[in-house]
Amino acid sequence: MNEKKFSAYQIFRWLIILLAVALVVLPILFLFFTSVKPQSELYNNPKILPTQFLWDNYKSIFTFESLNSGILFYLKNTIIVALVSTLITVAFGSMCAYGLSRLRKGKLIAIITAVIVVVRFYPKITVILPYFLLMKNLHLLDTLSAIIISHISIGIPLTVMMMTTFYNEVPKEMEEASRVDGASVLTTYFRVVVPTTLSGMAATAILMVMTSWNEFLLASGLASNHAKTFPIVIAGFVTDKGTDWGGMAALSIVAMVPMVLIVLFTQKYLIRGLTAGAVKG
Amino acid sequence: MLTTKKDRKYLWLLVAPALIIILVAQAYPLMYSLVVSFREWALATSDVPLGFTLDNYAKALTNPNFLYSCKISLQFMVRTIIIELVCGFSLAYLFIGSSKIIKLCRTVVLIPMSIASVVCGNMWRIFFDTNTGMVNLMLSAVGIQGPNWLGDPNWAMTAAIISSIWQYVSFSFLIYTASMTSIPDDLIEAAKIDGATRLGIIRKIFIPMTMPATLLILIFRIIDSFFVFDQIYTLTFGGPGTSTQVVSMYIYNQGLKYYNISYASACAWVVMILAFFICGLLLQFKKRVENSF
Repeated sequence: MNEKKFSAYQIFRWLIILLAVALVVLPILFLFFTSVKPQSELYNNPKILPTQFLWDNYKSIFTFESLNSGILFYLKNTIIVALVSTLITVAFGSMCAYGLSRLRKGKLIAIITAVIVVVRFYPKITVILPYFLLMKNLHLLDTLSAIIISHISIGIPLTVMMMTTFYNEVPKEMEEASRVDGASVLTTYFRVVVPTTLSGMAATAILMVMTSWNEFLLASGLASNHAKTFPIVIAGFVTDKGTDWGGMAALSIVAMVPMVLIVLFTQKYLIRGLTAGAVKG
Repeated sequence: MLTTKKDRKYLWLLVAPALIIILVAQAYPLMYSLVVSFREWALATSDVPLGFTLDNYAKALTNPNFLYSCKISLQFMVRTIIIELVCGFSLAYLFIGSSKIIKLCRTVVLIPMSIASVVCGNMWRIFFDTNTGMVNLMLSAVGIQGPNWLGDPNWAMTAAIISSIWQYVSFSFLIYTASMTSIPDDLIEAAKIDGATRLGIIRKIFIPMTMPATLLILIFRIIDSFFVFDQIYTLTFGGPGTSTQVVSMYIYNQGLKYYNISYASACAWVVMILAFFICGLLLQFKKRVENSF
């Protein structure tokens, strides 16, 4: 390849890279601008860039009456649901993945694995009504427990599939050495396998927090009022006076920021988790 | 490794809690919807499911609205996935490199994946507003009169596709990036020495070597985009008219708006079986591709 052709490619390459970055960053920036623009620049005389920054929309969503006691109430819900469901999912899911990967053979194992794959992929719209009826029978409608249970049940198949790839990478010799020393299967798992796969667990946990934080369909079927999480509040944010773009944008920004920060600061784990099994299948 | 009977008992103990949760909270509702789909049940006429019937399936397969929503979903799926594959692949190829700035750019491109789809739908709903939306403001800045995106049946689907692509290109980008970093450098060097052009290398090495990644993206995205819900719910709510009433919106309306519970379940099972059938074929194909390496 000659030098000239090479540099022409590099110019093209960097142009596309810049374009891609701009296409991601600009909409988020514009959303932020929408949330701080004065009303006049939003509707009557719309401008791309705001001339002044007003924080009224943020003030009002934190004290908004129709949002119960303001957004903090729902923020609390969302955080509780995300943390509790992540904790339980990662603990039970990893245990299950280890059990299945070491039991290995047998028809029953094959069936369970198939069930897990189906549950991971099937469209959740199919069960939204049965889920509603199930939670109604358990007297859990509109409680955080109902949403936590639903998120755990979505998360476990995800965790099992991810953690299986990590457990398959654990060197056999390590487990065998522990067994020869007289440790039981359970001791080997908790003392030897878990500590060596902690980064995999972290990756799974991050992905699970994001899944729970963003989950809309099941939560919207189960929470009518007190147990609403962020996505449900956002989807329902249409006021009587018409659509309040500014408030909606502010709400979206508040919901978005924690997850964007997670991506920026934990990308290494996240990428590892998301691509686990992607390459080797 | 020796696995005694006692060991197996312990291992089952590890499997049990997760298994119970899945059986109670996923398998049971799923089976329930299957059973209900074969019963006669609309909440308007009865509180409990009535007798066995195949009518729901017959009705689903002949209802023009349902078939139309299947067609819309299929269009949406094919268009978004093709664009996602092409963009994801090209970006992953152009982003190859290990300099700090490239790594930073790569992270930035992953951001949309972390945003809730309802937020993404809302965001584009604000941008696609005819008079005040960012999209039309930008278009008019370069002298183009933008369409009434969300009010015009001819444009609403395009708007939905743009919003979906914005969010999900990052997924195929990520999977392709992981796949491309596992291509051995010697292979590319050897091809260069043999005088292969850049396009030749892409065609002969990158495309075949990333085939498992392509199939993986397809398996994930076929189901997710065929059953797209969150984004449509916040962006257009299926409108205007039924121009963006994708299958999930149709099932949602039938089940939760009109309470035709058994009919909605039957519709869901029809499309679900179809989707799983396609994914099963892809999975078989993926295994064959992987074995051929």
